[in-house]
Amino acid sequence: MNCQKIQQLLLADYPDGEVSERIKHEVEGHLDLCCACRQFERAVQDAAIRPFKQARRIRPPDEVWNKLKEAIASEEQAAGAGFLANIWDVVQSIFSNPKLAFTILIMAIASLAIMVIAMDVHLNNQRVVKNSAHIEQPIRQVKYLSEIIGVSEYPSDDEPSDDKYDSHDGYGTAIEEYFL
Amino acid sequence: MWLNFKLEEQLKEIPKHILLRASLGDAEAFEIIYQLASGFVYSIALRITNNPEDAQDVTQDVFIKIYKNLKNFKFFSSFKTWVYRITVNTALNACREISRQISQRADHDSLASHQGEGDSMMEIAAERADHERLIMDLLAVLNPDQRACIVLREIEGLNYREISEVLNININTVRSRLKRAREALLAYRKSEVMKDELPKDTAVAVSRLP
Ligand SMILES: [Zn+2]
Repeated sequence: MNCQKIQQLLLADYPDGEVSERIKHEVEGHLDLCCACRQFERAVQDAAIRPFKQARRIRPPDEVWNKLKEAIASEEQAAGAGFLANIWDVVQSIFSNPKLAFTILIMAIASLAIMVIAMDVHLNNQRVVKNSAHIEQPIRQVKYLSEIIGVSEYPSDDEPSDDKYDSHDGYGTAIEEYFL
Repeated sequence: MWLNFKLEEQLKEIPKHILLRASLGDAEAFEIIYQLASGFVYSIALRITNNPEDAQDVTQDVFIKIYKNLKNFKFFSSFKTWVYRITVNTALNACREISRQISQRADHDSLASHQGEGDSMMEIAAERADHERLIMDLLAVLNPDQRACIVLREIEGLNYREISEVLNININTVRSRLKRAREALLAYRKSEVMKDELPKDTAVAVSRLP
């Protein structure tokens, strides 16, 4: 490698540890022999690399946190108003379309009926369970039924509902890897 | 005021359950994240904008973005990279906005002299070490994209691949930006040497530069 090539490497790659062992040795061999490149390397270090090594981390003034809190509070307010407005728009558009309104009404009645049936089965099973503690099969069925129709009174076995934070085993594996 | 610790330790100290709680809207957990990460965010913002007031605005924007998007952060490779990316991008956008405003006003002052104004600048100048002054002077020589690369490389210690991921540019662009930045810093140093007559051996070394 000639001096020009060496000096390109001294500006980037070599000082950043981004060269192979072979190139690194070649550069070092050249620096041992070439005074001009040695001086160039020292100049790069003095002017462009070493001054940043002692840069300190600086905390923002306290007022940044106070302003941030205010900004978030007003964002939340705006977001809340926007959310309600959106719901109102959806409701209005539904009732301006008779076909859609009718479909939704039928669906609501149907799901209400399924829920009533499920509740009934549920109550019957509770009685059965009281009489005989060994019968588990019907409960599973009702659990399954209630899960399908979205009735969440049966917490599922593998998902305890009391502690949301610790139950998320699968949360962000990459993040977990990072923090472990 | 000055805190001198490494980011690695700082961000690793944010426990997972704090991030989770904050992602569910817990204000107390969010404040803990702010306390642990704001020095890191503000420092990067300060180096890239090279202006304390802009850095404060950027810090606020970054934490609003973190607050709004924390529930999605599991999709990213790591919290650190995610925060780097938000911070650097927000700071670079602020720089673009500032230079647009300056050119609109047909103000031909350089960015560096523009930054010399303002009260908070004076406050910080009062307690800033000479070394901080030097770093700001050097960063003022560079354009914002070069500053971002130098900050991530020299101050944050990221390698080329990590820088390319944070800035979403390819590694060759990282390399050429660092090269240009260092050439600009060498040229600046050369002009300073000629002005100030530094010790002889340094002057000789610099005068032989191509
Ligand atoms: Zn040489």
